[in-house]
Amino acid sequence: MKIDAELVKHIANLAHLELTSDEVTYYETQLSKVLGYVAMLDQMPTDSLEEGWRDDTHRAAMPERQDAEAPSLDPELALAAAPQRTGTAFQVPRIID
Amino acid sequence: MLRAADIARQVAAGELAPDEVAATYVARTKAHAAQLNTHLHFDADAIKSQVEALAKRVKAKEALPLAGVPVLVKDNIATRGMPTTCASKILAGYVPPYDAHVVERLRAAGAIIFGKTNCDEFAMGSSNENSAYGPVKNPWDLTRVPGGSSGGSAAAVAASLAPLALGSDTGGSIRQPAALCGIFGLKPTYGRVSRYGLVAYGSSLDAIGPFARNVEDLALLTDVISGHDARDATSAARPPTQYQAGLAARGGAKGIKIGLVKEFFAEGLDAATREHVMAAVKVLEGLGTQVVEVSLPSLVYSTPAYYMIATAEASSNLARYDGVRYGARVQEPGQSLKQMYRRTRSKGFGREVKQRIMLGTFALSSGYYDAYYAKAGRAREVIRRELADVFTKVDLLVSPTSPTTAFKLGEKTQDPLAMYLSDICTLAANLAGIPALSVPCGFDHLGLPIGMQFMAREWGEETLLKGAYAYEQASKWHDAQPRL
Repeated sequence: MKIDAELVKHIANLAHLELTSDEVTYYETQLSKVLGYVAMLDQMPTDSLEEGWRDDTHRAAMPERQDAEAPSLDPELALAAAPQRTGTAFQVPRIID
Repeated sequence: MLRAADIARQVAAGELAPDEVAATYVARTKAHAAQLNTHLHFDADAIKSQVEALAKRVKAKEALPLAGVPVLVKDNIATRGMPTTCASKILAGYVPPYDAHVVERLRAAGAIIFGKTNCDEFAMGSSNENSAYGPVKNPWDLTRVPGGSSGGSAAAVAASLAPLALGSDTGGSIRQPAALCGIFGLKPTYGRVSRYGLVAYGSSLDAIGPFARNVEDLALLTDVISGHDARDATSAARPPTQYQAGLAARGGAKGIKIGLVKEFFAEGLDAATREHVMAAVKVLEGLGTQVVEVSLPSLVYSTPAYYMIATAEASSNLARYDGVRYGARVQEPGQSLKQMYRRTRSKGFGREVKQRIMLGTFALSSGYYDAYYAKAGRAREVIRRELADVFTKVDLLVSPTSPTTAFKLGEKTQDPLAMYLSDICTLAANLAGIPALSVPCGFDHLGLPIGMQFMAREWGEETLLKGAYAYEQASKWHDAQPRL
């Protein structure tokens, strides 16, 4: 799989990353190498899977969580690591002018 | 150095003072941690407070299976009041307001949380070179990698900076560094140990597990951290394990059916690794196991399947690092919310983490989803079924843990494929959710440790530990100590 600069920029945009032009060049090579290798999956026969197979049915059922009251995290603790806060809320750059 | 099990017994019985134990390991840490770069957080005063609190519990005759035992915790596991950075700049200085389930269990068991260990950033790597705080050095040769991603935990236990440590394993991140550092490391069955408080990488693959220098200690730590926890929706409704008690009495390895995985002895395997693993298999045969060769042709697809599934899950899991609730924020005046997200993430994440986020974003993106992510999911199911089928015929699968011994720092950093292929033997256990363990089984001509991997069927940790214990009693490899 050849990954070109446009595709790298498109993926970075979807992933909320901004790349320098050096990084775009770097990831073109890196992603091309990895995805070129991953293409071997095409060769793998997977027709043995029946129609409608699921990847979770082999697992034992997990117990339902008790619907019990429990104290929540103290707002002060929850906000303690916030880069910016206002009152008891996380503060972000203005979204609506 | 005393074993963890002996420390716990003696401290609980009042024969050994917990402050003496702590002082020994504090001194060793001060002497060697900087050289090895194993620790991201170490606070001797905080250790002292923990020891003082423990002494009171010992006096009160509380049942404490890890009384006074120093335990290191990988830095992607939340510790209340102690930094948890995942070796990433984006979480620099982050102090969680809560303990992970496993850390609660450690504290309840009387362990002393001895610090946080270096690792690959967000557990993404096989050499510990992706840490934002510099690579960990292998205690057997300081010019070589300790393996990854739990390299700090593995190197620290190998260097006896603590008798026990916790790591996390998404594709081999406990077993591969255990092998490269010459110690034991266990990835439990998916669902055996709660991941509440483990910073998520690939949620359908992630497992927390123990490192130790002997099998009894490994069993002891597994017993402490296992069992159901409602806060992890994938935690199975099973009681904590009881592997340590009676480990010696369980009759050794006699009658265990071993399958040698043909595909893992193929091209690309170090000659010394092959030789030592085969010699270990002979020892196991001598202990009364039956050995047959098995073929698992789908396993060659583990690497591509893993790198699509893990990165897809990572791209979703790491979306939460946006500079809003915790961690660093990079913001310039007049920037929009979206610009702030982008700037924060671009400055905060390292090169490999960005690469994996982009690989995963690609695999999930419109036009590529079916050929990459969906196909990888199908491959995973075929691999899981193939393994389930082989476990109707054998009890243990044996292979090398890593195709090579510890490589030089910098040797594979430019070639993503060479690095990704160093996980080739370990990935299948994560894809299938089965337990697997690395056992020290020799040294190559450079004196570098070699590890042998055991895999068992789902919930088959007891067979892993039985096999490992029997081999440990018949060999002396685990007794060797690196000279620092």
